[in-house]
Amino acid sequence: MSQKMILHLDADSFYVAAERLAHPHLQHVPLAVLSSLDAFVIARSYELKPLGIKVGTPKWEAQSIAPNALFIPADFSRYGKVSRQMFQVVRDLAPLVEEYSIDEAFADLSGLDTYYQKSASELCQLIKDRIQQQVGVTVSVGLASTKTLAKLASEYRKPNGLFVVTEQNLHAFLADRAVHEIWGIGDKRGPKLKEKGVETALDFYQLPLETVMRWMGKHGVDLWLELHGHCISPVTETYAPPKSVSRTANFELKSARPEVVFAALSHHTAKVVAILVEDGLFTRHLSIFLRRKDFTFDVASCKLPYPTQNYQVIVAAVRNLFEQCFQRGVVYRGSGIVAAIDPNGAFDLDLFVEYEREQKVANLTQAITQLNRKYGKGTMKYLCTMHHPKPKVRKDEQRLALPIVKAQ
Amino acid sequence: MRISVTQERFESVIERAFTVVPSKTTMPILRTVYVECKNGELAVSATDLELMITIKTSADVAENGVSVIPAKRLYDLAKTLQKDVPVRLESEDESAVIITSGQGKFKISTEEPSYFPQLPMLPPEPILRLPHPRLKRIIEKTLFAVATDELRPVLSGVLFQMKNGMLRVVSTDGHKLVKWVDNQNKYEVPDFDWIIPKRALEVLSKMLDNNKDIPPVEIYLASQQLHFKLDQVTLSTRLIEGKFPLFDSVIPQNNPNILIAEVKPFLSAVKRVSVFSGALTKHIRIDLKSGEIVLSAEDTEGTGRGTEPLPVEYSGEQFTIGYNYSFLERILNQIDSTLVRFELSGPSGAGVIRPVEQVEGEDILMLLMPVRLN
Repeated sequence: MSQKMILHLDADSFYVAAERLAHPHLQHVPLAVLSSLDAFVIARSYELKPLGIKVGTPKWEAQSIAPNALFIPADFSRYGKVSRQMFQVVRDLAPLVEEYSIDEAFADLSGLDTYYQKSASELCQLIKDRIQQQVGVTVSVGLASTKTLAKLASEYRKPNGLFVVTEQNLHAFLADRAVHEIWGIGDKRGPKLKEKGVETALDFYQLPLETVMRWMGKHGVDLWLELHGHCISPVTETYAPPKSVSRTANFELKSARPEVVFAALSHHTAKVVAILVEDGLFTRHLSIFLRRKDFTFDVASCKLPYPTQNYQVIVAAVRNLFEQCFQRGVVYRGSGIVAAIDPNGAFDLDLFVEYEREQKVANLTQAITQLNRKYGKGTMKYLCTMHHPKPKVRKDEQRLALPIVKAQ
Repeated sequence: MRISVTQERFESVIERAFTVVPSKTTMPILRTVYVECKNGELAVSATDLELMITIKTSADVAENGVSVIPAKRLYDLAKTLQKDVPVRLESEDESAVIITSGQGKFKISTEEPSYFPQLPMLPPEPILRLPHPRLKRIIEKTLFAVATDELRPVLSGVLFQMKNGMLRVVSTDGHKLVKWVDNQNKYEVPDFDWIIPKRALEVLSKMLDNNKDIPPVEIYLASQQLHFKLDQVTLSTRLIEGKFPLFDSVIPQNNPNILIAEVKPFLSAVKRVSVFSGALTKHIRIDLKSGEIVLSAEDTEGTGRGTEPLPVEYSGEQFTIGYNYSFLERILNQIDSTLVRFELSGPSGAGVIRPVEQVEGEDILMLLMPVRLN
C-alpha cells in the first residue's frame, strides 16, 4: 500500500447542524430543512432518520410521519458561511484541500506527520476537534491511502466518528460495508453487482481485475484499484470549470406582466454574471426559459458575439431572448437562465472588443457582489430588476415559528 | 427561339451559371436559368436573389427568343452531351424547349419568363476599372479573413474602400484582419465604402484571369447593387449594409517585440505541433526568447504533447503567447516572401504581421489576436 494519507471529511447532518448552531435551543428538537418553496425535505436530524424520512420526502408526508418535528425553510447563505469556516480549519493545517461539496472535502495529509510531529490519525483528530471548537459543528472523518477508501471510511463511524483504514483492518472494514456504499457504485450499479453475488465491498475487492473490467469497464477498474490502495484520483485543488452556470426559480406570485417576468430574469442574470466574474468564467451561449402556469416552457437561446462576462452585453442579449419568447396573456410561474461555459476556458480574443472596458464592467460587478455580501442582499442592484419583488425576509422567529424573547 | 451552339460553349455557360443556382430555396423559379438568344449571342442567367450572373457566348441565332429552363436538368444534360457535336435549342411552344444533339432529342418543360427576377440594367459608365490579375490577387489575399458566422453581418464581406484616390481592401472576422493597399495607383474616382459579400467574391474569383492583356473588369454601382462586367460575364451582387468597424484604430503602431522568421519552416512547425492541439480549441503556445521560439501544444485530455523549437530573429521581451493554429496557418499561407515579420505587444494584444518583402504595387498588413490562455 502506498504512503499517501488522504482525509475525507463529511459534516454530520450539515444543514441541521448549521441551524442548531444559530439556534442552540433547537439542539434536541427533531428538525428537517426544506427545499425552496418548502416542498421537500433536503436534510433531517438524526432523530428523524430512523423514522424513514429521507432526503426528497415531501413535506406533507414527513409531517404525517413526524408531526412533532420542526420543518424550516433552508437558508443557504448561512450554510455557505459555516462551510467556508469549516474548510478554512482544514486549510490552516493541510496545504492541499479539495472541496467536494458544501459539507464534504478531501485533504492530502501525506508527509504532514513529519512536519507536525503527529501521526496522520492524530492530525485527523486535531482537525475534528478544531472544527467542533472553532465552528461548532461535528464532522466524521475517514483516513486512508485513497479517496475512495477515505470516503467509505468517513461514513463508517457517523456521526462524529473517525476511522483510519490500515492494512491490518482493511479486509474487516470492507467486509462490513455493502458494495453500493462504495463511492461510484451507489444504488444504480450496486443491485447489478448484488445479482452477481457481490454483496460487500470486500467481495468487490476480491474480484479478479479482468472480471471488473468486463463488468464495469474503466470506471470499475479505477474503483477496484483505489480500494487496493492505488491512488487513481489524487486530491487536487485544480478547479474544473463548470459546463454552464444557471439560475432558475419560481415566482412567489405567478404573473403575466412582462416587466415582472423580465425583472425576475434580470435578477437571475445578475446572479449568473456575478458567478462568471467571481470564478473568471466567460460565456458565449445563453438560453432562457419561462415556465408557464401549466408547467410548459417558452425557451430561446442565442450565441453572443464574443465570450464575455459583461453584464451589459449579457442582459441585452437576455432582453432580446425574452422578447422572442414571452407570450402576452400567458401567466408564468418561473424563469431561468443558462450561460454555457467553454470547457477549456481559453478563447480567441477579438480585435474590436474593448477588453479594458470589459474589465471595468467586471470590476463593477465584483464591487456590487462584495457590497451585497457585506451589507446584505439587495443593498445594490440593477435597475432592470426593480420589479423583482424583494425576497421575503424570513426572520428567524417566522422561520422557526417561535416567540422571541429579548434579553434586557 | 432557335439557335445552334458548340457543345463546349454550351456546357461552359450552363456550368458557370449553375454555380449561382441555390441548392435549397423555397422559390421554384430560382431553380431555373434564364436563357436569352439575340444578336448572335446566347446569354444564360441565374440568381439566388443575392447574386446574379449572366454569361454570354457566341452562337448561331436563327430566331431570337427567351426561355426559362430548370437548371439542374439542363446542367445534367449539358455535361453528358456528345463532344464536338453542335447543340440546337428550339422553343417548342411557350411551355417547352427541345434540345437536340446528334441523334438525341430532349424536351424540357419551361417556366413563364416573366416570373424570373429582373435582369440588372447597368449604368452607362463604370465607377472603377481594375485589371483581372489585380482584382484576383486582392480577393485571394483578403477572402481568408472574412467572418464565417452571421453574428456581425458587416464582417461577412470584404470592404473595398476608396479614399482620396487610394484603394484599400480590408477583411476581418474579429480575430484576424488583413489590409491590402494599392500603393501604386491613384484612382480618380469618388470615395466609396463597399462591403462585398464573400460568396460574390468567391464566384467572381473563379471568373477572373491572370492574363494582364485582357480588358479590365468594369465595376458599376446601381441601386445598392454592384456589377462586375467581364468580357463575357456580368456578376451582380447586393452590398452588405452597415458600417465596417474602424479598422485603423485597432492596428497597433509601435509594437516593440519584433520576430522575423522563415515562413516555410515556421508553417511546417505549426502544422506538426498543432497535431497535439485540442480539436475544439485549436490553441498552440509560442514561447518567445532571443534567437529562438518554442512552439508547443497539448490536448485537453493530456494524452499527448508536441514541442518544437525554431531558430528565429527575435528582439524583445520574453513571454508566452497563444494562438489559434488554424488562424496562424492561414496568415502564414498568405505570406509570399521568404521571411515574415511579427510585431507583438505582449501576450494579449494584436500582433502586426507583414511579409518582409512586399510585392510591387501593394502593401499588405495582417493582424492576429492571440488566445486568452488559462
